[in-house]
Amino acid sequence: HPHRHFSYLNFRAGVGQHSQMPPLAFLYPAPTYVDLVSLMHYSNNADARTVLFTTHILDDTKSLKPASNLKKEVGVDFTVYGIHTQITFYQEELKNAFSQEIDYTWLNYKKYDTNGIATDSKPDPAQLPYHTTYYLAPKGQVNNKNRLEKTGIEYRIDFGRIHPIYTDIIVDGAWKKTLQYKYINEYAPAVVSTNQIEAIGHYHDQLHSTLQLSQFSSKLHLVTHVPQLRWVFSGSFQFIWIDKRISQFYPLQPKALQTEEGNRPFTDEMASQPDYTRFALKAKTDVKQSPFLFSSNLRLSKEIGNAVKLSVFVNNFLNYRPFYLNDGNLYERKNNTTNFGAEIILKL
Amino acid sequence: MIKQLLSISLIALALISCEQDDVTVAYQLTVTLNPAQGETLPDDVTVTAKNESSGKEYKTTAVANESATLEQLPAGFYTVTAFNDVFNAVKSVELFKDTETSLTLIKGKLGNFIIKEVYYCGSTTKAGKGYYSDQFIEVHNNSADTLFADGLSVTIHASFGNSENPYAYMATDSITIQLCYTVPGNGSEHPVAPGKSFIIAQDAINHQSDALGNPDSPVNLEDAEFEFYATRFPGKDVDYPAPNMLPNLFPFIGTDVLMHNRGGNALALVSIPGDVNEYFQHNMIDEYRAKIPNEWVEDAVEIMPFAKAFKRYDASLDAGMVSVEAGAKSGKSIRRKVATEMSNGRVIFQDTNNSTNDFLHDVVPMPWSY
Repeated sequence: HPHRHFSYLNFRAGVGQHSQMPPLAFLYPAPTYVDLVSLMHYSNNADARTVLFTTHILDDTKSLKPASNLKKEVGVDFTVYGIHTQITFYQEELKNAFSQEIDYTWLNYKKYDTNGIATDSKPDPAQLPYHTTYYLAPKGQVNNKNRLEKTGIEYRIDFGRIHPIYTDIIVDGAWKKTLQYKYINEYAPAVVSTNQIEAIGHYHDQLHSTLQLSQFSSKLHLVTHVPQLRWVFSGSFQFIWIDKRISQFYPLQPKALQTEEGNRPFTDEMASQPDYTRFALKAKTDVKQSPFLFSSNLRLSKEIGNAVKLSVFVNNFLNYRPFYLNDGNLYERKNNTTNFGAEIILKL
Repeated sequence: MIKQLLSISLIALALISCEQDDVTVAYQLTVTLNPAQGETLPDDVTVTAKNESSGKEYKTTAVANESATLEQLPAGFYTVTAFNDVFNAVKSVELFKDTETSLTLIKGKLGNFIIKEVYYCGSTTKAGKGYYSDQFIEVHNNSADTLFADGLSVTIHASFGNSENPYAYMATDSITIQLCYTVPGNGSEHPVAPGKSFIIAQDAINHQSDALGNPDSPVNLEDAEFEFYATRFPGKDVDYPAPNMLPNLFPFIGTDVLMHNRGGNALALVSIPGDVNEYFQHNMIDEYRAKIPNEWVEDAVEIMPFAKAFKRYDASLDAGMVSVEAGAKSGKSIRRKVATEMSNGRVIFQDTNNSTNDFLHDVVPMPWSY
C-alpha cells in the first residue's frame, strides 16, 4: 500500500513585490554649508583681528527611485510514515535600495595675501592682493545603488507524537544566504603628505565590495502536553551549525582623476607611482566563521482552573556563553546570560 | 743740559721698559677614557677641548687604552668632548693647573639639538574640563656652537605604546613615524646660540590670559619661536603670528597637531638630508606611515603611557622611558635634568640616551627655563 506510507502531498508557490518610496529627508535633504577661510589675521590687539569666510551652499538633490523587493517562493509539504515535512525555497532580490555615498566638488574661493600687513593693523580686503584657489569638499548624498539578494531553504519536520510520554518532536530551521553589493562612484583618498596631489577619483559605479552572510540552523522542539495534569512542558534547543561572514573587496582603478584644473585619465602606470598609488584600491577577502553555537530554553505552563494559565520559563538554562572574535578583533560573548521569568494569563 | 738729557732718556727708557708682556699661562689636560658599559674602548675616539671664553677648540685623537693629552692649553673653563661614530661623552673642566680628568663613554650619537622638555598632558579648566591647546615641545642646543634650527624635523612614532610595537622588527635600523613637521628656513634663518632653546607650540598664545584659553594653564607661549598650524578643517585652527612649522607627513591630523595626552606619542628630532617632501614620496611603509634611518635621528625620547612598557625606539636611541604619572589634564611635563651649568650661564642638559635617567617627570612646565 504505497499510499499508506505517502499519505499527503501539497505544492505551493508564491510571488510578491514590495516597493518603498524614499522618505522626504532623502528627497529634499538640508543644504550643506562649506566655510572656507579667505583671510585670517590674528593680532594681540583685539581690534585688529580679522577673519573672512567664503561660504558655499551645496543644495542640489538627485532624483530617487523607489526601492523594490521581489520575492519568489516555492514549497512542498508531504507526509511519509507519519512524519510531516514542509520545505520552502525562496529567493528575494532588492533593487534600487537606498544607500549613502560621498560626492566631491571643487569649490573655488579667494585667498587674500596678508604678507606685509603689520600685526597690529586691521587689513582691508579691498586693498589686498588675492589669488583664487580651490578646496575639495565632500558632501553626503543618498542614491539608489544598493542591491541585496537573499536565498534560503526553510524546513519543518514534525516527527509526530510519542504517546507514552505525551511528547511531540519537531525539528525546524533554515539555511539562508544574503549577498549585498556595494558600488563606488567618487572617492578622494586623504592626502597625507605635502607632495601628494589632491584629486577626485571617478570610479563610475564599479563593484567595490560584496558582503555574503550565510547561516544554517536547526531547532529541536520537544513539547510534552499532559492533558490530565493540564500542563505543557516545552524545551527548545537551537543549533547554529554554520554562521559565516565573507567580505570581499575587488581591485579597482579609477577611470579618471579630477583635479581643480580638470579631468585626466588614469593609466595603468599611475597605479604603481607613489603619488597615485592610493587611488588604486586593493583586493581583500575577509572570512569570519563563528564556531557552532547552541542555546537551550525551557518553559513549563500549567492551567489552573478555567481562567488562569501560569508559565515559568528559563532561557539559556545551561548558560552557554562562548567567546568569539568579532569583526573588530575584539572578543564578545554570544547568547544572553541565563534568565528566567514567569507569566500569568487570565481569561476574563 | 746733560742732566736734562739724562732725565729724558731715563724717562724714555722707563716708558719703554714699562711695556707689558702678555704672560700666557698654559697647562696640560690629560683625559682618560672609560669604555661604555659592556663595551670595549674603541681606538678612534676624538677628544676635543673647547675654551669657553675664546671659543678655540683643541683636538686630539685618543688611542685605545691610552689617555689623550692636550698640551699648552691656556687657563680657563673648557668643555671636553669625546666622540666617535658610536660613542660620546661630555664634561666641563676648569683648567687652572695641570689636570687629569676622565670621561665615561656612552653608546649613542651625541645630540646637538636635544628635546629638553615636552608638555603633552594639557591642563584642567576651572570647570574641570581638559584644555589641551597649551601643549609644547622645547628643543635645546646642547652643543658649544651656534646651530641653525632650519630644516630640523619633529616626528611622532607610529606606535602608541599601549600595546606591542608592530614595527619592532625594524627598530635596530629605522624608526617608524606617523607625523613629521619641519622647521622652516633656508638654512641660516633661525640661529640658536649654545645653551639656548626654541619652543614649538601647538598654539603660540598666552594661554593664561587669552579669552578662549585656560587661566589655570601653566604656560604663556606668546613668544614661542614656532607653532603648528593645521588647515585640514578650514577655519578650525587659528594662524597665530609665530612662524608655522612646515607639514610633511600628517595622516591623522584633526583640527591641530595634538600630542596624545596620556603619553602615547614618542618623539624624535631628525635631520633629513635633501628635500623632506621628496623623501616621503619614496619611503612610506604603508599608506600612512614612513620610516627614517636611525642615523638621522638627532634625539629621541621614549614617552610612554603611564604603567606601560612597550618600547618603540632602539636602545641606542633611548634605552629607557619616561611618563607623566599624574596623567592627562594634570598640567605637568617631562624635562631633562641639568648636567652642568656653566659660569657664563650656558646650560648643558643631561643626555645619556636613556630617558629613565635623563628626565624629570611630573614637573611644572618651565618654557625656556628649568
